[in-house]
Amino acid sequence: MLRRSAALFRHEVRYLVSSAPITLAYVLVPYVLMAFIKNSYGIWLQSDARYPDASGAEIVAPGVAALYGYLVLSHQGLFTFSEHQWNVWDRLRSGPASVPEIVTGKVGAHLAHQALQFTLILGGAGLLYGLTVGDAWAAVVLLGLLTVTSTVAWGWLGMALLPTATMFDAWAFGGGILLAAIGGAIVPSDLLPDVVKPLGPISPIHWAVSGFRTVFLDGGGLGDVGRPLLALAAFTAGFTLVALGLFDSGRRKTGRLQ
Amino acid sequence: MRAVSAPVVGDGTRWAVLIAHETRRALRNWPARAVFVAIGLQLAWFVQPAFAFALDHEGLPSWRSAPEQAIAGQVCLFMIANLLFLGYTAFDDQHNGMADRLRMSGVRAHQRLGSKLVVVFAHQLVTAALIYLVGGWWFGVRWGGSITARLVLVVALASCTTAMGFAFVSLCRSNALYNMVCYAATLGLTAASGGLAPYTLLPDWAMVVGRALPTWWFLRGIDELTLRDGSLAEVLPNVGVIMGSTLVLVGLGVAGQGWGPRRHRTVRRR
Repeated sequence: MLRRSAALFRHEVRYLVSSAPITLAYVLVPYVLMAFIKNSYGIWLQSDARYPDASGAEIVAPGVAALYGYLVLSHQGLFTFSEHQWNVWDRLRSGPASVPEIVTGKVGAHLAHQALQFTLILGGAGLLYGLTVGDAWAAVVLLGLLTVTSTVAWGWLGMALLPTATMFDAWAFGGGILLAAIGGAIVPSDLLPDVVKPLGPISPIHWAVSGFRTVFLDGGGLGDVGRPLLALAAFTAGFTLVALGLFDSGRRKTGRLQ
Repeated sequence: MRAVSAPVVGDGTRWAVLIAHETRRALRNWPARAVFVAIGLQLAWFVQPAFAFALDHEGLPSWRSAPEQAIAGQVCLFMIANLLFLGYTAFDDQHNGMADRLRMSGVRAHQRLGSKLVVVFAHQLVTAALIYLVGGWWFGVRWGGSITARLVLVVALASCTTAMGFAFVSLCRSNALYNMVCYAATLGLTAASGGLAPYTLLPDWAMVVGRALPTWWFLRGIDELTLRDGSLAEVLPNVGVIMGSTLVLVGLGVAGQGWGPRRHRTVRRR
């Protein structure tokens, strides 16, 4: 099983490498976006006596890294939806690889790609905007990993649910930006309308941002980010279970508008 | 043997048929488009307190300006995000050979893409109208300044974003690249223009960069109306810059020549 999944994994990676400028742009553009919005977070944080030296990157960097995980789903999804359009999906299913093997290969590649992207965005933001981790590497790695798994699970839920690439784009972009807004990655969560503030926990990005905030702003470690880690794991499990329940490998999808 | 002659179709009919076809395609995909409008309204709601915070910080009357500034920011964001739909129709034609078949039947490349742009322009106006009107009613916006000036600014931005779509389609070699450029432009231009967070909170260098962007001039035009009850004459320079950007983008699209029947693929393959 692993051999066939690994072959499909390599195939997905070849697609991402062959479209390297696009894949790389999803890493570089977030630095620009952070540069524009971190100042507003900095001013807001500095109004709190606990954070007189905050730059805003402590919240903006993980928030934007998480948001771009959702946006890059569109790039990953386009390839899978195109396989439906080219009838490659049906031919794959008629070959020796079973559907779980095909999906494992694809999900593995998406996870590896997302993990690399998240690391590069957060690492680059650390260098550019002076984020320091201190001794909390374990917390940062686990938070990053679970943020990535919840994002990929959201993507596969969309792939299971939606019949066209256009709708999947709306899912990736619209869903990502909405979850980022509710999660405090676009506007500081304290500045959201009072009615919306309690909705924060329904967004995985809220938990990612709050976990990283604990590490970067409050100097917390692994023991302080237990709740965000649990919540992100629960989102991953929940999205995956629903996606598995809805996934129908024989369902005809169209790559494009229909 | 007599040759079979095809009925002659005038240019007007051809345009009408193509536009009707693109309109049907757009309507078939209405749920995704409606989702964008709904999210735009929600985001406008979410970012309002941040705008109010910034205006209070500057000693400006937040109650009269924050709701409309938040709405205008989302109009910018989702007018650019709407270009994602253009990518699918434009690259589809290339991908499934429709562009060649249409060319064979006498449809010229500018007619094929032009008909799509007409529908994009109409879609931009509908999006702006829905976000503005529903948002205005929902947030109880006080419409200070000239209503005509608002209409002119929105039409100018719709023209500019449509031209942006033309330039992107022309310059991008694949649908995947096009999508990435749209995402970058959507968030980048809106953030750099003060559409996500108030522009007074942007870094100093960003205020200089922002002046090169049409979305900046749209949002500053709205500021003029909401903060100082501005008139049409006062926002005409802003409209001029936006229309100037439109011409530059059209020029880029024509120079890119990527709208003819050639090379486009879903993804770039070796």
